[in-house]
Formats: sequence, C-alpha cells, structure tokens
Amino acid sequence: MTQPLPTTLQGANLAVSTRALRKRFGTVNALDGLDLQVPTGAVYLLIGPNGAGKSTALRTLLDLVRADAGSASVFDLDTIKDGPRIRANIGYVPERTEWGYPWMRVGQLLLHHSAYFPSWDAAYAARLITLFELQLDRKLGGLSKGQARRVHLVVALAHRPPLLLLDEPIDGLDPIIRDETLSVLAEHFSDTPTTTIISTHHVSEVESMVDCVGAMRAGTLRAQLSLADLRAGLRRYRAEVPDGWAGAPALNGAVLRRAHAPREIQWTAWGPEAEISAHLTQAGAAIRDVAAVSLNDATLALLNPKADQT
Amino acid sequence: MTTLALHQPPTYGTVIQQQLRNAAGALRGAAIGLFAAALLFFILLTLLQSSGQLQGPGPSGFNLNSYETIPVWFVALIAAGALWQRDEPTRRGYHLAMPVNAAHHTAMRVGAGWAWLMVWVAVYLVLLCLLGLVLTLIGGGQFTSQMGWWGWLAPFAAATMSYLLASIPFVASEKPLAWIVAVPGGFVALITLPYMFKARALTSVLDSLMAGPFSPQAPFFPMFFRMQSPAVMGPRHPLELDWQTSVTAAVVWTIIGLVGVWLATRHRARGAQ
Repeated sequence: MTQPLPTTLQGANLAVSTRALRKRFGTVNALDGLDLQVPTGAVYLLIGPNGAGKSTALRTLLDLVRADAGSASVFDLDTIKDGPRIRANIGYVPERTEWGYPWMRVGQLLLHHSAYFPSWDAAYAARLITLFELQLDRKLGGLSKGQARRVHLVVALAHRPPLLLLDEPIDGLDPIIRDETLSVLAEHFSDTPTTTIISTHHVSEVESMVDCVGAMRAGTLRAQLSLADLRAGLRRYRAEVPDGWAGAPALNGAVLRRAHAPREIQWTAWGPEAEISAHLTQAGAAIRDVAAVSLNDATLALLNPKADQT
Repeated sequence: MTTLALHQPPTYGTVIQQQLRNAAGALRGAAIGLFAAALLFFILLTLLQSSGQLQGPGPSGFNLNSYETIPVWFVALIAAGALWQRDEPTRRGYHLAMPVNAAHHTAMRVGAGWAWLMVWVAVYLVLLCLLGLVLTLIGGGQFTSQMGWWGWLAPFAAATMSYLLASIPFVASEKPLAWIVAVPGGFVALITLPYMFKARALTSVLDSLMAGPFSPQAPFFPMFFRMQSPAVMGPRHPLELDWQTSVTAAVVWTIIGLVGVWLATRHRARGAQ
C-alpha cells in the first residue's frame, strides 16, 4: 500500500473524542480501541456494516453504555463524570424507537421533554410539529416506526443542542417525509451551531451535508478523514488489461475494491493518483479513465471486507 | 478547547415534578381499575348486609381486622408493575438519555410511584372506614375504633415495603414477573420443607425467625380495627404481633427494600438503548 488510510483528523478543534474505547458484550467486541474524533461544527458521517459498533459508540457518548476500557469526552467533559451535563447538550435520535411511556400522548411527551431541557425553543418545536405532521393526541404506544422517528427528531432538534447524535434518523420514513427531514436537518445545521454525528446506511442522501467520514468495522475505525480528503485521495481507475494479466503487486493494500467488466478492471484505490496510475501502467494495464467516487461508492470501498486481500 | 455556551440540565425540583406527573399517567389505568373493584366490593357487602346474608362473628356481621392489610400488598405490586410497564431495562433508552443522573432519575421515578401509592392506601383506608360505618349503621351495631397510631400507619408501611421489594425486579430485570413469582415461591418452599420433613433444628430456627422482626409477614398483620362493640370482636389472629415487633419488622424490610432499589438503579442493562 502506498499510504495507509488516515484514522486521525489533524489539527481539528474536537467536540467529541474517544480514546482507545473498548466494549465487549459477551464474546462480541462491540468496540475495539475506537478513537473517534469529531471536529466542532462538523457533520460527521459514521458508516459501517450492521454490528460494526456504531450505535454502541453513540450510546457510549450518552453514557447509556459504559466502556470496559478507554475514555470519551464531549465538549471536553468526561462522559461518565459529567453525564447529565453532556446529555443536556445532546439531541439524540436512537436507532430503536421505544419510549417506555406507551400510555403517553405525543403532546404530553413534548411537554415532558421540554421541562427537562431549559433551552427548549417552543416556536421551533411548533414549526417542526407542523413540518413533520405530528398528531399530538396519538399515544406513543400506537405510533408506527416512521411516526416515532419523527417524534424523536422533534425532541432531538427543538432544544437546539450543540451536539446531535442521529442513529439512522431517516430509516423507516417514506420518501416524502425523508426528503422533508433532510431539508429540516440542512436548515438546522445552517441556523444552529451544531456538531452532528449521523450513522446511516442512506449515505448518498446525506452526502451534501457531510464534512467528515468515519468508517467502522468490527468495533474499530478503518478510516477517519474529511470528505475533501476522501474525495482527493480515493479514485476509481478503469483500465484495460492483457489476457492472463498477473496484477500490480506494488498496489497491494491500496486497492480497496475491484470490479470486473469485459476486458477491463475497475479499481477503487487510496493514494496519490499519479503514483497509482504509474504502478498500473508499469504492470501492463492501459488506463482508460480515472474518476472521483461518490460517497456511496467510497463507503462500499472503505467497508469492503476483502479490501486487504485485493 | 471549545468556547461553546453549554446548556444546563434541569433542576431536581423540575424532574421530581415531571416524574410525579408521569407516574400519575402510568398508574391512572390501574388506579381506575382498583377503585372500581373496591367500589364493587363496597356495594356488594352493603347489599349483603342489608339483606341479612352477611355471615360474621357478631350481630353487625363485619369485623375489620388484620386481613385488610393483605390487599395493600397486591396493590403495591400492581403499582410497581404499572409504573414500569413496557419499560424493561433494555428499552429504557429514553428515560436514561435524559439530562439527569441515571440512578437518581430512576430513584425519583420509583419515589413518584410510591407517593401515588400512599394516596391509594389513604383512599383504601377511607373506603374501609366508610364501609365499616355503613355496615355498622345497617347492622345496628356501634361504630368505634380503638386502633392505635401504628394500626393506621401499618397499611402505609406494608405498602411501602411491598412496593420497594416489587420495584427491584421491575427496575433491574427483563423478566420481573418471573422474579416476583420465583422469590416468594422459593421462600415458601424454604420454610415449608423443614416442617414437611420434621427437621426440628431447622423448624425451631424458622419459628423464632417468623415470630420476630425479621419475619417478612410481620408488617402485614398489625392492623386491627375495632369498629364495633368489643363484644363482637373476633379472636386475636394467631399471626398478629405486638406493635413494637411489627414496627421493627416494617423498618427492617423497608431498609432492605431501599437498599435493593438503590442497587437496582445502579444496574446497567447489557443492551440498553
């Protein structure tokens, strides 16, 4: 590999940072030395396959889960010692939408929630209620997944928290409400100073908002970098190769994903374009084009379990 | 370093107020059901008394005694269950993600449920007194109460200890009902087996234990109403204890319940949201 994938964000003023965070559930390593670095004011996209430890990482920041080892801080406050103060500054949309108050109506929940957050913006909450078409007289126990998600979004956003933790925030929403939600989030980011961590599989839909990306696999970060660096360093190379081509050994480790088409091979590789192109040419491949990759393709490449053997 | 102006968490006064409101909402259904059942019982007994069918130890046919504390036990259990309905530890993410110390927050919720339970017990006592009065008026007896101060407090103490003990599995376990059935069941088996097998050494230990302040039944049998003329009073219940023993037992078991709840609030569910 010409250069390893970066896992630290240099020189950033961090709103969230974790150091060597480890959490084991039975025989499963949910977090395995996680070093998360989220710059203040950034929208940080946390990607990873199911079971990678994304939700556990977010819950650790809320102190809903205690790590076995390592430490985590939010706005320079320790997540264990300063849990209540940190949670007062977090808007959280959990992956699972359960409330524990099945008898409570949506309107009652919003009143209840507003009492816990002195910074609650009632006018903004009213606007979100209208935008998300919430029915205040519905009981929480009877809400569908999409409706519950919208209620969670209102309670997460309406107190204008400095940190938003959004765990699959658009999962279960119909396309119209999903589009509305993304617009609301974009607007929220523009008028409220917020640091955001989004964990979602709908990568292409949040691409326009994202500043940084963290790719998790098996409880650890495989890559952590700004979107600008990702776009600059990750390229898709399309080349024609001779019959019986032996490959380009010099690129071992740099290629994250390989796809075959008739008489050509596509590589998604990390590193300086000139260097990778030179290696391919020396190995006998005729490069036809080099292109930037979309965030969705970058996700597939970064999370490719075969990347290290490609 | 960040220079953000961070938001402050709520005051404990606000949280307690919210938990009292939430507990009222969570317990509302159970309260309505129990009140309706008590009223039905009231009406049924009144009808039986007026038709002369009520069998009892004296001319008034109704004698309020220690057994009236027993329903309090079940009411306390219902209250603990209703408060935590569909909110097992692994589903308690919303509650725990609030800006309050998680253990304190859970303890405040338990406390709010207890406060409403005390209101229930007060209503229950009022209903019992009314029932005694009505039955005495219909039956022609004399309504008198010679109950001491502990007699009036005992139902509250019994409800408190039952509620605290029942709250432990509801706060800490994914399967609270299994614990609620298994622990008393195991206890009964434990105290029955030595008698069945006539293990004298063990039965004498158990006898002294069950008669003393560590007996879990002690707080349930001190309440002794004397609402009728002493002439119609039934015999003293064999399990009835003197009030000092009962008070000690109530204190001991309440402390055990409080310690259990304190430990339960610190329990962290493995897969909590």
